[in-house]
Amino acid sequence: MLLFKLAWRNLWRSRKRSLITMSSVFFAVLLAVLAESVNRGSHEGMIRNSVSYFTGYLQLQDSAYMEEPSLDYCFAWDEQQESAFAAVNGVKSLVPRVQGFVLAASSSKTRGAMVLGVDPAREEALNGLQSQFIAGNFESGGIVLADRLAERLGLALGDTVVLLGQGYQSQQAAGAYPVTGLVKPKLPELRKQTAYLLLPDAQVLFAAEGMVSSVLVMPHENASISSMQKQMQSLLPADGYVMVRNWEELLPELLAAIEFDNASNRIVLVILYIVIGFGIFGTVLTMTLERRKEFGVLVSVGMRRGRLALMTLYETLLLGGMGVIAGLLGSMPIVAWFYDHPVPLSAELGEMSENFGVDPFIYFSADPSIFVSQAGIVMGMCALVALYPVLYVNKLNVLQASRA
Amino acid sequence: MTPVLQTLSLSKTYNEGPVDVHALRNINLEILPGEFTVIVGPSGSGKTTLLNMLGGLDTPSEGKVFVAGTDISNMSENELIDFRLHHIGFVFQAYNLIPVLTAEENVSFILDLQGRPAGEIKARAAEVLAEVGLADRAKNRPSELSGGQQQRVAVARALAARPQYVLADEPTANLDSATAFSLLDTMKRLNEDEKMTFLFSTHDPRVIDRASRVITLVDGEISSDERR
Repeated sequence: MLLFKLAWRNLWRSRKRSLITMSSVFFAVLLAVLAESVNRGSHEGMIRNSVSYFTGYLQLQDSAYMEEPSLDYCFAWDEQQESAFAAVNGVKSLVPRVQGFVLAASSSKTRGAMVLGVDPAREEALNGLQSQFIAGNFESGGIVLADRLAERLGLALGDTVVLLGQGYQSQQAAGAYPVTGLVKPKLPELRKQTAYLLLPDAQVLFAAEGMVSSVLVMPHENASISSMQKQMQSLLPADGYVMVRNWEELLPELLAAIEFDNASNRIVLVILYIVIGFGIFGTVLTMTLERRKEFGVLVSVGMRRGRLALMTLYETLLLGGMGVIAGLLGSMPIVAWFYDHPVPLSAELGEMSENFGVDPFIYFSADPSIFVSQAGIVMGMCALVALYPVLYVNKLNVLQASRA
Repeated sequence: MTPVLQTLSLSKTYNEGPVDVHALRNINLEILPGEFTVIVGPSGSGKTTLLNMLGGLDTPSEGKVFVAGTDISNMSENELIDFRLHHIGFVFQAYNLIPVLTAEENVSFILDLQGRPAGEIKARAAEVLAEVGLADRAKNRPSELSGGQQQRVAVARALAARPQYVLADEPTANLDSATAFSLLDTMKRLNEDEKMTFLFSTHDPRVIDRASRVITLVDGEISSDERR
């Protein structure tokens, strides 16, 4: 208690100096938390989009499908399998799809298109497909076109589009479908090329009745993806072709991009930490050197070096700790607000962002580990800085110091 | 009577380059309980070095220092620190109080380090502050006290743990005459009333006049030792 009292009061011997140092720690923590929150928030957004539109957190697919996404790698999917996989602990929904590439033609234009055979209700739960409709709806025997594909083909509601391609095991896939709906998917990549059919219609088109290209799996919140993956894999025959992949396996480019982004972010943070570290060190250095005589006197009258070193350790940790606590208290409400209210990008930036397949918003992550890690790093830095006075005290020549 | 402090053939030699500097040579000394002793001598005569040896702040090159029969010459650093904490009081020329503590807390500091109970610390601090005439300044920090008052607090701090002796290095050097007289009167009274042993290093004739014993050092050797 005596040492803590001394340390606390010593901090306020130079009130301005201590406050400036604490402020610098405060701003360092605030900036680091916000930067990391935006960084992770944007990554979480990218993952969320990719997972909900393309892959799911887990996906059942043929082992060769990832390398060559061909209809030849469709696999049988029935209600019995559906029930078995739906019963796996943590599964929220299963979203079967048939996916194939065709030529789509209107009376005057032809374009390449990706046909997605979907179950609208399950897609709605996965990516809010229903809310993306700008006209019409799904109807049996009809087709729903993404807005830009419809524009390219010069088609509107009620017009007919002809699809021509290759189905399962090289069978011909051909059909004429009335346009019953137009959607505007969030991702520009999908807006240019997607045509939606009801799953049974797509299975007929591709001569793949009772088969799917993939089944996307969405978990309940906080469910363990790896545990689900193991459980699902155990439901599949060991010598079969179908396997369960997780989103990290399915989106290696996205993971690499995130890693690269994380690396750049870390460089910026390290520079910030170094600047702040030297700020704290400057204060601690001055606090130490200007009290050389006092340290000498304290040891002379009977204070062990260890206790003196502990006092200086308290001082540095208090100095950094108060800045860190203030930084956390300052950043929490900001992060909480922006977590609930993502910042919309301006029209130009928004378009640019959409072109990269990212929502035109700046998302913030409120993951508690961000606060813990930033606080931990700054406190670790303080502990490192605190070594200086500890070493200084241990090497102090008491006789010379007390007579300085 | 057992001496509070005793040295046997005490010598201190500093190696400064090729030259050996003999700061103290063959000092044999006994300080008895209750003595009010001053060590005098010209600059460089070894007063401060002797005081450092007697205070366990420096180790002799040869010889021994006994405090109440205990040899402190070969103690480890931590043993010496603990020994100083429990057995020796220090008064410095520049007061050297802890600036962030009040007068009362400065006096309590040594007792706190000794781990005494809070109640005892408070009572003893109040008692010693009253003895040096500063009961009414207990809550003031050093910066709010005059030089003389600060030195009184330093004396109170030195006495608080009832040490076996108090070492005072030029305690009046920074004080004006009136303040110095007053402080010396206080120390003399404590010496007489509580039989506290004081050992001064000084040039100040005001201190020498009050001493019961004057030891004169010249070139690291005792040239005279006069009891009054």
